[in-house]
Amino acid sequence: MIQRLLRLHSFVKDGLNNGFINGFLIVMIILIGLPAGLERREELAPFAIPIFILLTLVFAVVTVRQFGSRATWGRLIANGVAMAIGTAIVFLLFMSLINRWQARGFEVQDYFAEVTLGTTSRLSGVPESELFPNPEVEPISQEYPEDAELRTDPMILAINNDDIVVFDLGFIKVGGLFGTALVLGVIAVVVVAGYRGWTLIDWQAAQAWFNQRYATAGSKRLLNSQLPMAVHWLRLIMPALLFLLLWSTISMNFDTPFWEDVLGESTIEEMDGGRSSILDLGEQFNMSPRAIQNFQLIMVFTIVVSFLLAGRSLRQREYAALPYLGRVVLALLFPLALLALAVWRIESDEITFISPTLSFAGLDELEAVTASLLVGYGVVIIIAIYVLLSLRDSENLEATLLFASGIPILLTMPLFLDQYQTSVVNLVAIYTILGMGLNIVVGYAGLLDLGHVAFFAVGAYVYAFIESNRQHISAGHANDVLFGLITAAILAPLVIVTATLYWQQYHNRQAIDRASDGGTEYRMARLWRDQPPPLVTLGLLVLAIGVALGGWYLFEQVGLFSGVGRASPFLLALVLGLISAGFAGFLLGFPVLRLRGDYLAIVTLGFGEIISISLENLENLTGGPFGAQNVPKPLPSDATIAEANLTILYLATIGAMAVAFLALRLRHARQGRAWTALRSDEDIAQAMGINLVNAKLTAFTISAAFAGIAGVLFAARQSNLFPTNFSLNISINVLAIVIIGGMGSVPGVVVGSIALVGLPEMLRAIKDYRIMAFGGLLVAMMLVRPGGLLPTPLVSLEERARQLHSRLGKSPPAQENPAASDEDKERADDR
Amino acid sequence: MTGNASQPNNGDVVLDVQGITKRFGGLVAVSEASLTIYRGMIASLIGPNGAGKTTFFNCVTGFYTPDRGLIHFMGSNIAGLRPDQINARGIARTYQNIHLFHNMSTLENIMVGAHTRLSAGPTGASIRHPLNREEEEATLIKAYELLEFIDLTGMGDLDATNLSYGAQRRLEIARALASDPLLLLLDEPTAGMNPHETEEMMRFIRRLRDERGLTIFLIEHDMGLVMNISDQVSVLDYGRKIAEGTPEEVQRNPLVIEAYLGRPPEELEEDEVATAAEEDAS
Ligand SMILES: Nc1ncnc2c1ncn2[C@@H]1O[C@H](COP(=O)(O)OP(=O)(O)OP(=O)(O)O)[C@@H](O)[C@H]1O
Ligand SMILES: [Mg+2]
Repeated sequence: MIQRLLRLHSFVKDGLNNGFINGFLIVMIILIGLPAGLERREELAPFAIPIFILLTLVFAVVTVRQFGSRATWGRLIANGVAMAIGTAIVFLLFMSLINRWQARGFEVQDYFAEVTLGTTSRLSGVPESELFPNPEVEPISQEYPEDAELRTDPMILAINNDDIVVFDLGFIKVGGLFGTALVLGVIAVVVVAGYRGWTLIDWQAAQAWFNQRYATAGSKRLLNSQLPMAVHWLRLIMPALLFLLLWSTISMNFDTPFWEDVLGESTIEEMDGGRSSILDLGEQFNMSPRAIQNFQLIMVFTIVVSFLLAGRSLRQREYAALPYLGRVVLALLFPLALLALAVWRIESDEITFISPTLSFAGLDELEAVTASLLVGYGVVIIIAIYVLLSLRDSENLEATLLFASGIPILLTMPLFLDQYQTSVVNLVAIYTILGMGLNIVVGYAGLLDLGHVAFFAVGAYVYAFIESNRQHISAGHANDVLFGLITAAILAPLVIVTATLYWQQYHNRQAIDRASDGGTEYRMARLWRDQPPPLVTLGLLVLAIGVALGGWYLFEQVGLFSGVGRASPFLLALVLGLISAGFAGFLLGFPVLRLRGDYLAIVTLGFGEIISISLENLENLTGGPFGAQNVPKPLPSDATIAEANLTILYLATIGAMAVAFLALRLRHARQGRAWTALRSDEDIAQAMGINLVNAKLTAFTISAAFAGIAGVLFAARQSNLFPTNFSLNISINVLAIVIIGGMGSVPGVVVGSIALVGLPEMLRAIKDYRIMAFGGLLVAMMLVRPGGLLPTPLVSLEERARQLHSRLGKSPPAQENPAASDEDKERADDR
Repeated sequence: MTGNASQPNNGDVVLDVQGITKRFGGLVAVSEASLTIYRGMIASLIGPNGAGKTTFFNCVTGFYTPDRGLIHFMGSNIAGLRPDQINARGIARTYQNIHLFHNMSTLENIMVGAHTRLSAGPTGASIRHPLNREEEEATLIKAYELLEFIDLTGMGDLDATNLSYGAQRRLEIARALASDPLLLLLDEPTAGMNPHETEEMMRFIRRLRDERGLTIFLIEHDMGLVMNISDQVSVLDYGRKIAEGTPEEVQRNPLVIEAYLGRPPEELEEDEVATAAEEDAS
């Protein structure tokens, strides 16, 4: 008997353990969260239950994943049930404890002093009417007074009770604490079985069976190609589907000539002010306006995450059956549909992200709406060109489709957000940029940097400084010339560098064509080594100056420099912010070159503090403790706040995308490999020829430059900057983002900022509770996924290497040592 | 025993160490040690535990700066240079305890080795300059060829630290080879291997010299291997070089026998001593 029990225990212990951890986490959340001085207490319970459900689901998934290839149906279901039971046991123990205390007159209410009866009742499962202590027992007889109202059994299983959270399933009502535990358990079992069950099914056997019995030739192909593929494709188009869902909840303006023709006037008049949405969350689902806002925000974040996940599941696969034209049409479907939606939104609601009036090289007073539309068309044309070019190879279909739908979605989404949502997404984007920067130093190179906020501050104050000075020096044109020249001076080297590089490319390609004989001679590129001859250099110089002056003229025409107070030289501030922050990073890099680990952390911490103290004390530059106030937005002063916010959101979104893109490229280049090696082992990396000084300084500089961009955007978003905005807290938050997302993982940073900035921001309504949820998330995360939410997979290169190698005309090698290789593979699989 | 390399002349000197000394506080780990290695040689460094062999390697590769003495590599002094500079000059090494980069795939580990032979910087990588891409592809091809060379094709995408022990040792060598070295230093390449694996490693080292024209300098405790493949054997004891010469000469040297056995050589017959030394070492 005991033997059996022991065997059963060893069979389900993983599930049980996870259930206990889950139960304890939930209890911790209740214990810490309840007394946390909630202002809007009634909002607590609805938030708490989803968190519990989420935690339970997380642990269910963890339970499943523990088995890996050892999974069987029996194991999965037994452990799922065990997990539910484990959770319920801890729950029951805790709540019965509370109930007993309560019954003994232990005044549990004191502990939960600030929580209303209703909330306690919802969480504990005890009806409100019974949440009171039993009366004092009579000292002599040790019995309750005869007519005293006594509490019912605290172990009450609260089902069918109106006072508590009730899951109304139609035919049965389940609710209360224990009822909830029950529901959680059922969900867990379903998830557990379903999640791995999918992979357990032997699809090929199923297919064979199906084919044998029913299939004709045609349906056979259908089955073969589409069963697993359907899931794969669902993942790829998930962002688009989710976007449709989001859009369907947005109220659109039908009061336009176009819709009048289509729908008829009377239909539109029936609508509420000519506006309607497919899904009216308020009416159909009884959601408060705040809830709708948050729901839409969650949708936005989900879309971003699903885009990242889809990016991970991309495969290079031949779709030769689909002709070129078909592929192109397929890939252009989404961008064109999105363009239509965007045009509708911009035109009918006059939502614009460009300054209201601007004159552009002769086109007088281009209207904001027209300009915004032009930008939209431009983006779609660029995407169309990309689609046309990249689809020539049918292997690119998946990637092209994803990017041609994903990028326009990201660019269209801001149009549908209101001000509150815009500001939340904005913050997330800014933290993403910050995180990308820190990820390079901490995630790639493994140098613990606690002073990241310093570079953020440098960027922000550079923007504020340039902007405010422009306001003060109202001398007009003299300054425009100055700023124009600075811009030109920045543009010129960029042009020279790019042109030189391309000259080298042309030159070297010729050399390579002559030299290559397909032998073992490698084509080692010599970037920067062969300089162009003097005449070419001179030509480039002239070209660069021409381009720079042209650029200056262009900016001036667009209104970026014309007239103080009209538009801000945002580009200038951006470039200067980036450069000064990068330089600050470079400077910090020097003293810490020889430091490692804890010492490095302390010095960078000190650096962050130095900057924040300087912000308070360099009053002439920064405005001291009173901060830099009334920092202008990067738009002409006649732009509305909504327009400015939208513009900044666009800048931040594009900035985040660009930075992510750069970070990815760097990781997969020589520099990124050097950083990763450095993180792994500094000494060995140096012995492998990596110049540590170089690698560390580059990491610090690039990381700081990214933070500078974030700073500039932050200053543009905020109208006042105070030194307190740049406290140590920011550094720590960003570090948490990098760690939670997964060290060194670029999509991880995005997910991390959504989890640590976006979600808490939405929970602002219940203030302190969000800190607790945040803490709970951290603890659960570290227990469950120590590698982060989206850790980086190893870089897979072998397939590509093999292709390149065989393209060189060398025959693939015969496997010389198959026995040893198999053994190695097995070992690797086991770990 | 391989045939001796053709009579070396001075132009063929790859490594010339002149009287280096390395102290750790009071402990003299290497003392006045000199050594010359010619092109195409397989040279061995042997000695009891703690004799200072690894320290000697560390001096040559720049981990330590010798307190005294010169280290000439291809005619110029490299003592005092940083490890990465020395690697760029053409010396690569492996370690007594395997040190692969974790978080990196097998193939990437090899690619890191090629670092000094590449020139792409962060700017080029960001704009994915065509030259940069070509360089990247060439590196990939080269890394793949090395992967083939060490018989690990099909495992290029695995976590390097998950490979089997023997594979990790070979991978470490491949990583060193990726930097196109002239001189390869191997610190106990067969430590922890069984006789069969040792045999394979020995053949592998020969291939390195014969197919790739490398000069090899190795530390080894396995006397069978040392005596079998070395052209020249040097013996360190308490940081001092006590003997040098062909395997036969060293085997007969009374100082060496004393160093390994710690008692006067008269008490034993000569060949017994040799076998005893072998056993003692393994
Ligand atoms: N960094 C160091 N600091 C202090 N002492 C050291 C250091 N490195 C080595 N030593 C000492 O120097 C002596 C020589 O060590 P070394 O590692 O070179 O020996 P070895 O010949 O490689 O021995 P083994 O055969 O065990 O590898 C030892 O006594 C060791 O303790
Ligand atoms: Mg040693």
